[in-house]
Amino acid sequence: MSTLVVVEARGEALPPQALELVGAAQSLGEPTDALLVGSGVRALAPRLPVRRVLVGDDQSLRPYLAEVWTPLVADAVEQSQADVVLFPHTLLSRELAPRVAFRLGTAAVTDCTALGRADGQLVLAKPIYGGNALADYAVESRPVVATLRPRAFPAAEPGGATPEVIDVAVPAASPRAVVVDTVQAAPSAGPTLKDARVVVSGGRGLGGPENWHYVEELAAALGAAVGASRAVTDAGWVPPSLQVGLTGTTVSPDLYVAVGISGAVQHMAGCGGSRNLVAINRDPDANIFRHARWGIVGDYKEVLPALTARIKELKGSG
Amino acid sequence: MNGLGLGVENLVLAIALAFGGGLFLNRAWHLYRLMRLGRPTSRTDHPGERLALFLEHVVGQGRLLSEPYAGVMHALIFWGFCVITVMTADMLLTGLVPGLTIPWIEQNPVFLVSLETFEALVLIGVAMAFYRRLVGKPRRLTYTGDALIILSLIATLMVTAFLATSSQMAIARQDWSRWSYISSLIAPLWGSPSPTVSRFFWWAHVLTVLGFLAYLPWSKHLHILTSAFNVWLRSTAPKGQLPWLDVEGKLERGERLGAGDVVDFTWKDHLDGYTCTECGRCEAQCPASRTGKPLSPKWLILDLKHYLLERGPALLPADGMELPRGDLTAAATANPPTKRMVGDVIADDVLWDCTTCRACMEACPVFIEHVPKIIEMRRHLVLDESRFEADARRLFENLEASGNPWRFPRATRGDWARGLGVPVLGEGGVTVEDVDYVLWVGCAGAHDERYQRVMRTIVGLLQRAGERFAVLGQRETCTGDPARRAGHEYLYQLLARENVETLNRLGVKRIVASCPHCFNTLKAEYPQLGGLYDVVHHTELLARLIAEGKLEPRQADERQIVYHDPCYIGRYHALYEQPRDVIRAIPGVRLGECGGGCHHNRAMCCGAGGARAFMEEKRGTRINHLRLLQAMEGQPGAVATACPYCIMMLEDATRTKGVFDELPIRDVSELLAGSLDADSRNGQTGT
Amino acid sequence: MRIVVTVKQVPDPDVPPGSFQVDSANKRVVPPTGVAPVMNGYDANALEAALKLKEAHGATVVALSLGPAEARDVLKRAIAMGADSAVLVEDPALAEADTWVTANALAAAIRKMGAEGEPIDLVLSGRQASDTDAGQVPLGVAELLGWPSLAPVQKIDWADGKARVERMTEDGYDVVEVAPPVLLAVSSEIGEPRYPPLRGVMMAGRAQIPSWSLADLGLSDLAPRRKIVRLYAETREAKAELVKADTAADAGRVLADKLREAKLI
Repeated sequence: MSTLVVVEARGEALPPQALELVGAAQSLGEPTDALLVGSGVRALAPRLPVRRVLVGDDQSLRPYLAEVWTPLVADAVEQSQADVVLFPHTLLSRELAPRVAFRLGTAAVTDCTALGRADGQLVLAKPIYGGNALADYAVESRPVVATLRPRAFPAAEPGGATPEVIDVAVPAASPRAVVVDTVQAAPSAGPTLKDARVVVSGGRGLGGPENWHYVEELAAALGAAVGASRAVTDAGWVPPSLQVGLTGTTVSPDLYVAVGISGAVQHMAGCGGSRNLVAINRDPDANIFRHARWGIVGDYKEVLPALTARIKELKGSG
Repeated sequence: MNGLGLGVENLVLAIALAFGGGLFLNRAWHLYRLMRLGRPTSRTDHPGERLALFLEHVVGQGRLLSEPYAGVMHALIFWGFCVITVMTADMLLTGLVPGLTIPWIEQNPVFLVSLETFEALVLIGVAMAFYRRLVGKPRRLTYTGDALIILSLIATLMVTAFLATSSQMAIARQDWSRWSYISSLIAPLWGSPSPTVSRFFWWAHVLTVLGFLAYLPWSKHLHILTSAFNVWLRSTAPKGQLPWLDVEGKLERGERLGAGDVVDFTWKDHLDGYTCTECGRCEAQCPASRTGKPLSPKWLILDLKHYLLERGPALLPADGMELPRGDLTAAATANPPTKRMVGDVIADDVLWDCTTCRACMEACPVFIEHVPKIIEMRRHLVLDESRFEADARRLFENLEASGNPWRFPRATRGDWARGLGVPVLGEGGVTVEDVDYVLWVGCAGAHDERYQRVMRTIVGLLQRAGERFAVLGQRETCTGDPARRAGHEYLYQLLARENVETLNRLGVKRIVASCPHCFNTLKAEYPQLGGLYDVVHHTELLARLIAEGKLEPRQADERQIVYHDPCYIGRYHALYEQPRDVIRAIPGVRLGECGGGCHHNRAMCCGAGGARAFMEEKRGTRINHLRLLQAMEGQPGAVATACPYCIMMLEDATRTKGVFDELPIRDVSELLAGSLDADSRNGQTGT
Repeated sequence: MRIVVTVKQVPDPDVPPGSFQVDSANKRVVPPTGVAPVMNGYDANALEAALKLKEAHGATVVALSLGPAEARDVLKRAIAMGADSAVLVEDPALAEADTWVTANALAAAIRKMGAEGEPIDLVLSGRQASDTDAGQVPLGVAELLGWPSLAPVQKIDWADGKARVERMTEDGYDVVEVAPPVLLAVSSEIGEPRYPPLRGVMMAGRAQIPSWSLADLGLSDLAPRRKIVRLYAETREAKAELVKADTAADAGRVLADKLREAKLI
């Protein structure tokens, strides 16, 4: 019995989630092995605080193709005799993990936020229905394959005993897919409004465009997209593309922070699907509070700087 | 006529008449054939109503006179022409066959006095028109040479008439000549002219008439011939009722559903184009034009007319004497235009700009029907081409999914009334026998937090007045108005059928609606689906309850209240006074009006009609901002209205303009409730 | 070209979250009444991509779904949007289907389609479904069919008998060429799905949609690999919890801690 974590590496540093995967694996109480996959990544192996590191290192592994990676990872899982295999919930592993699971005749649970045991059985928790419910899954076939949500698990401490490094054979592959070009997109300023998991929106209650920076600063601290009510885009404080509402963008983020927004029907039609709504408004009767999970009745000029600072603190320490 | 080149002159006149008349008839026949490319429509019902309107607006020049300068100017020319045409006909008759005259008129003092008077008045009218075009230059007019040519021709006609008559008089004075009192004054100036002089002016007059006739059908002054017909042939359907569309039948037959080509409009739509005089009264009233949007109702009509003239000939039968017949869709499809009517000639944006407020139709002196054409073309965009912006699509999908424009779950439609004790028809044994009417809530009343407060206020007022009413709860769905006005007739019919079935199953006969859009659809449009109800607006009901003493406003309200007319109860149903009566009943209130004369039938739309409430206003400036400014010209302490979307738009405007706290926007019912004593505020949760 | 698009019927994700009920006893999420279920958003993107390929290069597009009889509604919508035909995999035994069972059934249906007609060149699926957000089934289908897959995909072109695809990466995208057959898991970047034209709606109303049972697919004793052992909602007050503190600034700091507690930051 052991747990295998899959580390999709590139370059000279461990990927951000590698130690979180190890931490999650260690919490299961079984020996932890890692499978390090990539091209020219072997040197990273000793930095993983695990029992054994299986290394699949070959030029054919980059750029990534599921056709090439799936047999390698499936073979390595069998070789390691792991009964739990943990992947990061990255774009790459969202494709790879289910393919490996199906190749091994088992099922995966993706985007897990917690691992635990119930009645001696491993259970994997994940939010479903857009976060309206949480489900605990048990997998009855072996191995259990899961992808883990980033930042949901505490990272393992680096260092400790040097792991045993074992090279695994990279199966010769002749993939049908050919990567003909790789394009690096210019890093965007932040998430797009429509797809953002966190949105901070400002309304007329801010008083004037000179106060808009309060909203932007909070958004930056949260890594959020910035939105606005129609009154604000109408008044020309910000471009119309930021409008959240029936006639603007419809958003349904995990967290929606509405600052100085009264919550008229046309606005709520654009953000009513938000999982968690925070309302900050001076008017205790504002309609927005009827839709909010948390509310603060008060002056945003006092609330926001404190909130922003505290979020930065928490993020820095987390 | 006497003795001067007798036979030859008659012959020349006959030839000239044949030539001028021939040119006229040739062009008129062409225009008539083009008009007949349109689909059939019956416009002969309600003759009495048609006659009354004809007398008021053609003979009486009613709508024209709503603008004093232009109205008087036009009426002088119009009435003058009516009289002078009799004289002209007489001249031509006599000219063709000497001695042949229209009986009774030639020596009739009354006719002669009127003739000369009107000739002079026409000259005054023409002078006013020249002044307006050359000096005053109002913005709504189109400035072309055409108008100046026509005005010159008219002036020439009058001048030559005076000169011909007076010179003739100088030659041979008759005893009845004195009735031609203006010519009598001029006659002495001639001395003893040669008869040729008189003949010259006679010929000048007659040839000008013939030239005018030949030129007329090429000019915007074609309206001289078509206006009377156009007014007579106007639609007598309720103003708020859009033409029925047999969606499934047309699909079966492979026909287009909306107007995408000239053959998809009715012949009356084409007659509208011929009748447009480019006066621009529609444009001056249009909220889209006034806020700098691409839509101008005037240019819409003119562009369609020009498109008919350009596109139509290719679709006419080869035989020039034959009229187009039968369904022409196939012919039009087989012979596609180089420029599409919708998209190339009339841009999509132009069609989406319309709020269907009907201000253009109300302003048009010749009763051109702009809004139905726009809806027909929207139908083409939506149903034939599936071409519309993301906002419209979201509206359609929300209506499909949840029966309201915001996609609130249907199950929550009745939640607003919790704790108010309003019976729900069909629930808890409540039947139609137990109540006098159904209160129609509408999507805004059910889901918009702001208008929920208004609904609760209305409920409180009705309960206080001891009214027996119920609501439909979750059984109610969107009436379909936004879908229909956005051109999605299919979706409209789905929603409307559902409501009609519900209402008919429950046996509902009487309905009180608060949303003017619901009100209009229930009252004017559901009859097309077999839904016949007695529908009143809540302001009508409240005015009646006050008159009956069932509601007594006592608390004084010292504010100046400016009332904004919602289009769908105002222009569409002429409910101008009932809401004002409610306001007037409040002690101490001063009733004000929006500035610039923009009230009653000239009230400007708030910008929400025609499904615009659910679409972003991307072009031009904001209609609601302009409307708020007009209201603020009335120095209001509060603005009253009677429509959820007007409240939404005007409140939005007060927020953007930063006057939300100082200038409350209130439903008429909220003002009334505030004026009853304290215990009447049942359900009102404060504003 | 023959394209299969897998479409799933899901509860409308755009309604307020509070209106979902969690039935822990039956381990079911009960969506609010009066809001019709919809086609999964990413599946609609996949269908749109297929219809664009059809318009540009000519193709027959088959919509494939698995679910109860009501799932016919999404297939009708697919036909209304422009799919040529549709098949529903429907079997009482599928009521408790997990991703393993679903993928096996869909893969068998795709095999059957390929065997009975022209070969299938492309299977397009949404990258994940808005109900379970698992994103596994399409990749399971590809694995079971032994096909290559690319996921998530933001653009699909077709040239010289090959698909030319933009596959999204964490920092941009790869341009990948692949000969059919291949499964592509499509993301929303590919473009808004069209609104069904009315003619399509009418045609869809009359369309016959065959239903295939597990027996029709030659499948028996498919055992689920995973199950839900517990389903629960985060407890939440119906009304807003007003954060109170001595000063507004303190309230801001308390709010930050609450957000942290709820794992929102």
